[in-house]
Amino acid sequence: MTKHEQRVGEVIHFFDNRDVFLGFRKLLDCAMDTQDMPIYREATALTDWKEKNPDDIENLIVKSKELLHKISRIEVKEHTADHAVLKADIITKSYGSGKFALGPVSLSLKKRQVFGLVGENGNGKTTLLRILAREIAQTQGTLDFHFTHEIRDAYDLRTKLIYIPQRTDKWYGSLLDNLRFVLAHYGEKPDEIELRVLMMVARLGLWNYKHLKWSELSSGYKMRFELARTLLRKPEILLLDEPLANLDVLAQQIILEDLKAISNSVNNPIALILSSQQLYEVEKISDKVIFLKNGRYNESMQVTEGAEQPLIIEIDTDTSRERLLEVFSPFELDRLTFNGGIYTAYFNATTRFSDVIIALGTEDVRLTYIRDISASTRRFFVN
Amino acid sequence: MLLISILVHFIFFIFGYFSHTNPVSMQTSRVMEDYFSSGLIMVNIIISMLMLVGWLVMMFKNNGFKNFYPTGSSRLFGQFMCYLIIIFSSITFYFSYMSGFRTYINKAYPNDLLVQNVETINKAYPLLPLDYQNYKLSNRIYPEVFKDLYCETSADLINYNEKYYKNRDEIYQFYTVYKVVVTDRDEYREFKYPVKEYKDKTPLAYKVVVNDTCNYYFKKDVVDVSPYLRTTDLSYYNFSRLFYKLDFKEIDFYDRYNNYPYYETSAADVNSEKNYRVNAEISGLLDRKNPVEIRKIMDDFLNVSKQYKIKNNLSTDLWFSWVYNPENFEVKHFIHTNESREEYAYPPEAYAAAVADTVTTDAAAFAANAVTAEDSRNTTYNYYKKHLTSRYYEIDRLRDLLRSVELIKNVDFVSKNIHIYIWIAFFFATLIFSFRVTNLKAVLFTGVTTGILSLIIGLIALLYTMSVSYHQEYFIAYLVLAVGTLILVIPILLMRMGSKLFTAILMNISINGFVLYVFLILGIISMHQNDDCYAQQGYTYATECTTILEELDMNTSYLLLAVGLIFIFSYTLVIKRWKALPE
Repeated sequence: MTKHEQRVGEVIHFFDNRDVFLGFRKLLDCAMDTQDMPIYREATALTDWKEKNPDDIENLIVKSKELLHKISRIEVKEHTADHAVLKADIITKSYGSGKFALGPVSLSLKKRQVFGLVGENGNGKTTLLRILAREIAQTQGTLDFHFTHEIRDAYDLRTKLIYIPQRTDKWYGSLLDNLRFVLAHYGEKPDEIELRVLMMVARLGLWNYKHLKWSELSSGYKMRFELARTLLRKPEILLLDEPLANLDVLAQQIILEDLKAISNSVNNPIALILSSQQLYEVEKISDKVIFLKNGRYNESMQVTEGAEQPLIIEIDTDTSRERLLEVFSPFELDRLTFNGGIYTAYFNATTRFSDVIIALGTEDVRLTYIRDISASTRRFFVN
Repeated sequence: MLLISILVHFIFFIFGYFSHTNPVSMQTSRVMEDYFSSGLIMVNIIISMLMLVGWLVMMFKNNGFKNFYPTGSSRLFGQFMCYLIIIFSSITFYFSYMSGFRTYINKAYPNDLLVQNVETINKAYPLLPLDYQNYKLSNRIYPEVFKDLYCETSADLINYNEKYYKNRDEIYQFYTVYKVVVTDRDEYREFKYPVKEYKDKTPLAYKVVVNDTCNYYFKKDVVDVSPYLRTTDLSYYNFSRLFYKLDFKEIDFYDRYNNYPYYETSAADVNSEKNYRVNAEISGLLDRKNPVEIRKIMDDFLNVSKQYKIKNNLSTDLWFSWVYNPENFEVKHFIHTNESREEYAYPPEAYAAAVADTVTTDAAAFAANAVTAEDSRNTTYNYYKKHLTSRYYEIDRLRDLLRSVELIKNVDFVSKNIHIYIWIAFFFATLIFSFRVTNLKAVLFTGVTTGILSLIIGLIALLYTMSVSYHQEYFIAYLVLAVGTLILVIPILLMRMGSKLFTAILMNISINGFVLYVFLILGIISMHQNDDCYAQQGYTYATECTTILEELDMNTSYLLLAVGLIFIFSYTLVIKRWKALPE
């Protein structure tokens, strides 16, 4: 069973469980993997039907499954290369002595990998992304790119490095026209342009907004439009600066899921780096989180697989500090800090999270929120 | 955008077509400048500006200046060409106007009708006594015997021992002449005077210079032409000037005056304009003494005048009665060439009389007496003044009209004016192209940098002129060349030398200024050529010094355009390299 067939099977399973919302997006992913115009046509037609009949779930499931069966019969060539697309070696950037300096940063990014870039404001996230996109020059260190398609010159390379800034460019004209323009500019076959654009619009949830002008889109949809615009260029690496900045909580989750799914394509995977303030969400989909503090990226801070980690827990409760210390007395508590809203408890490595929860439950401590942040970069923020 | 400009071109064509429907508007020597003097040029400028601004806004609105798609050299160059063509088509309405104008002229003044009318005018012109000079005996060239004779009219040069003719203050003597051709020039580039004639003191009749030869005509023998003369007074028989000759050639309006052979000696002026055919025809007509024929010529002429709306107050009957003196066809009445001529006549006779009446000072009395004495003398001029009637015919307007028509039919208005439009379009296109490939900041800084550089170069030049001042034009030219070369070379060879903005500024200056740079090189070459030519041994005023710019002439413009286009095409590689540069 190929990876493609396997994925289609998963999607059918979603539909079996009536997870239509997720299933349909995954269906479109599978459809896009085929790169097959008749499938594209059917998928966009189905999207159109779905948007016109939002309540007819039963029929949607039937139609989707029919399409999925067709999709599974298309052969999809799997992208197998496993080399690093981007390799940064001891990159530094300094803005003069005594001023802000970034790095040294080293990283190696493969396709299908998602790196989250986190850190407080002014710690060099954007600078690092712009260096990786070769928009600004690094002071020291080397950057190596290794794309599937041969790079002819520096200009060719720049056109392949796709960086979406937090504040995107203003675009004039309708969303569809702009997307068509991209493909036309990239020399796509004229008869495929329309279908590819519609497919991308469908995939990124822009179907009902496709005739709007850029200026009429909400900022969340502007980001989606920007993504659609860049994804049409079939990038191999994508650098996103704060893509979640203007999105509501639900939309953040969806777009992250989408990014993960798109970067994980069977035949056209993408290496992705995104910066964000939304730690939990980013951590959830990232293969690695890069935490920048004062421009420094400390390898030793990184979680080393298998090594014993101290247990760090965040707790939101109206219980007093004394009562908490009493509850935690059976465990080896290093320290308990309070930042005015949330307690952070540091236990030694032998303490288990479940034991702590049992203790809190037994003592009937009222909890609003609790989370194990031992492996999360969140712990660097609360320090 | 091109469609809009085609529409505007069409509108200007219509403008041009209807601009000169009134023949009076053609009665000027400046018909070529009507576009500029009538204010249409302002309309053109305003429309062009509106169109170009609209076009730029459209470009913005359609993301025309957004960057960073993979683009090839040819595509970038194609965009530049689009700019060039669109701008060119948005400013060249003059050509459509002129085409419309020409179309109208060709329709309203068809060649065959024009030939016919000019024929009519030329036939009647000898009968139109606008001036007395043309009716003097010295104008005679028919019959054949007069053809090769020179008529001496200066009282000092008359050989009173031989046959001469006198009438009032005019004196005439006819000579045979012989020609001496000279091509050698002296050190002042003047033609040498024939040595033999100089030694023999042979009197010179006149000389004619045509290109590189000078024809000296020397007097030989006096000829008695009495058998051929009826009268020595002003007579229609003597008229030998052709009023108008149609060329129908692509000849420049202004060149027409320059290409005439150059005559010296005022007597020769008259000689040069004698037309045998005119004189023969008028003589024939008068000899026939056919009133019907003469009247018809006058009628036809006045009809053509009416058609062309030439101002006059002539009537065939009166005119005929003045002309038809079948004995000798002497000229006894004259007409004005201008409706309001009296007012401008100097000295105004009424004024002179008034002065004599009222002012009693000695000076005034003397002046008045002088005027009276002058008036009472028996001169041909006084004869003319006495016989000047109140009738007028504005002959200059007729001549201007014919010239204008012929000019508009034949003038090559495209190649005369295309250069200015090409270069406006080219520089505007390079400016937009600069903005398209770099950004607003870089373009603005380019302007600032160019200003500062010019200022610095100007100051250095001033300092040099005031202190050293040795070959200052070379110093300035080479200074600009050096700075230009530096600006050109850095983005090509040392792109990483400065910041990205710095390189962008130099790049923009290169894009916008390369053509001027090449022009400067041509100028420097020309300067050297000129100086070398002057410095060479044996240089005289006769030495021809032709520089490369003179050699190329107007082709320089086309050459520079080609060079400019090739440069922009090759420079797209540099632009792409710059694009890839990190900040």
